[in-house]
Amino acid sequence: MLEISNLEVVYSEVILSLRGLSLTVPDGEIVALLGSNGAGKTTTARSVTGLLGNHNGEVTKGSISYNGTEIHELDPSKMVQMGISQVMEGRRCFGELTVDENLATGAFTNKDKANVKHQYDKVMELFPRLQERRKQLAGYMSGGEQQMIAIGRALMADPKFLILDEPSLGLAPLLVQQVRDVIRDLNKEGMSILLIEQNAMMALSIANTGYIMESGKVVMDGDAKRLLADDDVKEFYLGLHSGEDGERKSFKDVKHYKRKKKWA
Amino acid sequence: MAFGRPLLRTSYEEDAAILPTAFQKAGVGFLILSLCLMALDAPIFGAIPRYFLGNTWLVPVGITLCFAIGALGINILVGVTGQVSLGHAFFMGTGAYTAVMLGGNLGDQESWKACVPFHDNLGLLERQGECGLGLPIWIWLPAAGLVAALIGIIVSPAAVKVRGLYLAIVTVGLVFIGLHLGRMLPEWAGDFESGRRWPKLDIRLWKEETPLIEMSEDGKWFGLINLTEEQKQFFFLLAIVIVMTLLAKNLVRSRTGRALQAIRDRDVAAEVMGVPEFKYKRLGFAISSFYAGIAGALFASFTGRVSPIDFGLLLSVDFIAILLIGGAGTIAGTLLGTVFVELLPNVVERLTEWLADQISTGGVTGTIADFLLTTGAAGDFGPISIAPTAPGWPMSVFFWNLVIYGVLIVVFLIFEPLGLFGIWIKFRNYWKGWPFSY
Amino acid sequence: MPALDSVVIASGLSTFVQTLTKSIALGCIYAMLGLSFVLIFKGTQVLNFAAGAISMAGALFMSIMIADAGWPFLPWSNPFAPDGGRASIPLWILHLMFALILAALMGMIIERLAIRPMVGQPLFAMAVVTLGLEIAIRPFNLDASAGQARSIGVPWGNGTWTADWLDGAVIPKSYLAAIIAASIAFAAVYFFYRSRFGVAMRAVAFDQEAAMAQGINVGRVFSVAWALGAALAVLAAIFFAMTPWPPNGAVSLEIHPIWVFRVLPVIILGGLDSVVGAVYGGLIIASFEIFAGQYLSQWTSILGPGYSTIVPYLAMLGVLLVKPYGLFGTAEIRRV
Repeated sequence: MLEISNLEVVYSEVILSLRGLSLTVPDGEIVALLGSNGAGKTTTARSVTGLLGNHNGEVTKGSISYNGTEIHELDPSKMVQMGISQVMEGRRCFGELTVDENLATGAFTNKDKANVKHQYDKVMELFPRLQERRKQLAGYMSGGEQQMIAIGRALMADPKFLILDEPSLGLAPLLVQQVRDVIRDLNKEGMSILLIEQNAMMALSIANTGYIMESGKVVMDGDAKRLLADDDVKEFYLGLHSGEDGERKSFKDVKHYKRKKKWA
Repeated sequence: MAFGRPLLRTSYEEDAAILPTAFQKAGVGFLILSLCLMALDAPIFGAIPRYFLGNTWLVPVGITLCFAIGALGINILVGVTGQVSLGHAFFMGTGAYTAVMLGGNLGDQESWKACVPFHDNLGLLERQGECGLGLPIWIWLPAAGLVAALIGIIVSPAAVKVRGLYLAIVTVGLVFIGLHLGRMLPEWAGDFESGRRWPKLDIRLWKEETPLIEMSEDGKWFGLINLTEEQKQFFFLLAIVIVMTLLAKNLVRSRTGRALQAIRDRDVAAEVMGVPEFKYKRLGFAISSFYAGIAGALFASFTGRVSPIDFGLLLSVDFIAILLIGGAGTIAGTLLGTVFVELLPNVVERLTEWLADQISTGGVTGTIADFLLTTGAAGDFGPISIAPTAPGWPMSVFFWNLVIYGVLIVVFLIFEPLGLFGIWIKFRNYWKGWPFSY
Repeated sequence: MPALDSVVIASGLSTFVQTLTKSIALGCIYAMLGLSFVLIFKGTQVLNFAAGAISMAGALFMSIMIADAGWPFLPWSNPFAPDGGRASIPLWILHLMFALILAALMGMIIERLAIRPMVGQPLFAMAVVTLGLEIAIRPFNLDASAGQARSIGVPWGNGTWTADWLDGAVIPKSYLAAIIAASIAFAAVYFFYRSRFGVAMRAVAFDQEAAMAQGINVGRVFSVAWALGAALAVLAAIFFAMTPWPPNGAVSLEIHPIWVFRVLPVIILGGLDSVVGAVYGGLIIASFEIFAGQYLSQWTSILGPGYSTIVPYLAMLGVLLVKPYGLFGTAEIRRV
């Protein structure tokens, strides 16, 4: 179980990115984290996997614990060893390495040879397309294939907990569905998943719980089904709005959430 | 202008002004005034540089002024256009040698003959001395810039093709080719080791005997004030630096400057928006080389005698260090960086001299000095030796100066990647928001 | 410099053979140094301009151990040192190992103190850090060499082999030693790259943050890259010092700090990140340099003394105009 409580993150000692974020990912569940650009979603992912330092960011308050262990000051490699893997935003495949080598980097912390083999077969089963292109350079592959590599690479470490940062970014609708199905399958095998998304419909359709962020904190949370039905969410993320049908709302009328998180 | 609200700008003109705030105007004015006062050896003001740099401080400061012009040039290429170049020394050399070819051997009408070597009766290559046309400064100084710019334009097609570190290495090649030319053409460059003499900075209308503005002797200036040679040259160089700074500042805020910056930030995107990449990269090279040429000519003339070795790779490295320590892309940072890099070795030298003096005085500083220094006695293993010791370790004071210089470059880049300018920005932002940290 | 080499010209064939072996030997030395650049660049994305100072410092460590019978930086004497400064082959190899270990340590210390804190900074800033290091390390070299060429106690000295069947071509033993050393070094690096750690290193080179997210310990990759890179640079410097042209069996201040910059064309030609390219680049550049030095020497008065040293740069400019990423370098994969 991953618990983030009251997290505050500052970049370059001046830019306050997260201001008191709290969320919980229970074991075996999918939690969707939604929010518009700049809300702090990626920062949340970075703070969990220890990559803040790369961006001159720092946790100034609050805590992150995984199964009771404080983790926000650990090395990224420790995190992977503890079973937390991350699929980074924008795929970030090693373009100059082949598909196989990309997957091998994911298995760097995995010392168990038999397990590596098992994970490799599993990835190939999930994404048969990669099987055909094992020896190709990742940099020349399509966006969808690169996303498969990115997910497969994260799976090579045999994680118990997976963070996916915008896996649907730039993918065609059919591919988004495929990615969604993969996430659901992985979850069925018992993996806990924190799904960070802009595509609210896709994320909420498979998540158990959803959190909505704005300006560095959670403004709304609750059961995914309930959020999906919520009018405000519909209006803000899905562009649907009730009332004067067909008429577009001017930007100044769009509602922004300023209220504090409701602990309902 | 809204006083008291420095971020409030009510027009584009205001926003793009060279010195947007009254505070900055006053600051720059005060800086220039105090520099002049220091040079004139006014009370209090004169003592400051003397304390840090010793009595002959006008010499390193004059060189710093020359380098400031070169640094402005490399800032336009590296900081503004984003093309990493280690070839600046080559362009400075080009400018310097153009200057000496045109302005060398002042007053000697026949000296151009010296440029043509001939074979003596033994068949050896012989030359008649140091060649040059003896033209006045208002010809050779702009020409130095223009010839360097021309060479920059000629070289740029090769440079535009490659990016990043590859470009840096290609430009290293330029420096070595320049050194080789210096070795090949002693009739132009003088002896490879000891070099040749350069024309003085005196301003003449043509080749007349008494210069219009004289800068090569101590004495009365314009019949008004008694100044030394260095003081006169200081004022001259300061004026040129101010002019060149204004030009650079104006370039950055013009249409051309914005095109160059667009190329720096993303060359492909810039091209898509209609900024011709090749044309502007070439322009960046040309302008930067122009500055380098002027700087090289002034530097050589101010120093009086340089050799091709002086335009080696280390000179280019100095410029890159200036840019990074000052903060690439900003004019103020570039100038700050020049002062820091060029004057620091002098300050360090003063410091180690002071330390060596302390050893005999005893006390706390004496103990520290004793711990650091090796006097040659048995069992004394301080890292700094002031006596002949075994090779390698401990090292002499002179070598430690170099070590400290190198280490400071590294330390600066590690702890303040935005350079001195970044420190200033942080300081300013801190006080702007005080007492809230963000 | 090669033009100064006074090889007795016996016949056209033997001159050619001698020139060829000389260019292969120099090519191997360039290749070793090129490998050092490539390893460090691939591992840490740093173009190591300090290679000159590092390689010379390592060669001087060796000289201090063999010729002065001491240890660098330490006041004790070296019990393994050979008598009279000329070592037997096993003893010399032992000292070579010492020097390489010290070099690797030096590389790791430099990496830890100066490179690791720079992670994430622009490539250019990192390259300039190494220029600062070059300035900071060079004074040690100045002091340790004390203005003289210092012996590294080569067991075979200036020994040569005469190949009678090749018109009596005279081949220095140090050339063969350089070729053997380079072959071993190349094989080691080649297999290292195929290993699990090698793949991790390439991943780090491509995208540090993504590699970190995979749990790769970037710090260790950096450390290893610098240790290997520094050791290779020193290896190259030692075999360069051994060659029968000046400095002739010694480490010399006049030649060593500059020669590293002559290797820059090698890595440009081969590509900054290509192991194979470093070897080809070294061989090609060296043969340009040596053959031009040998066969154009009658035009020295026109080309200028030491013209052969800029031949590599001219070759480099030519290559870059045709192939901007070198012959073997990976073209940057850009998705615009």
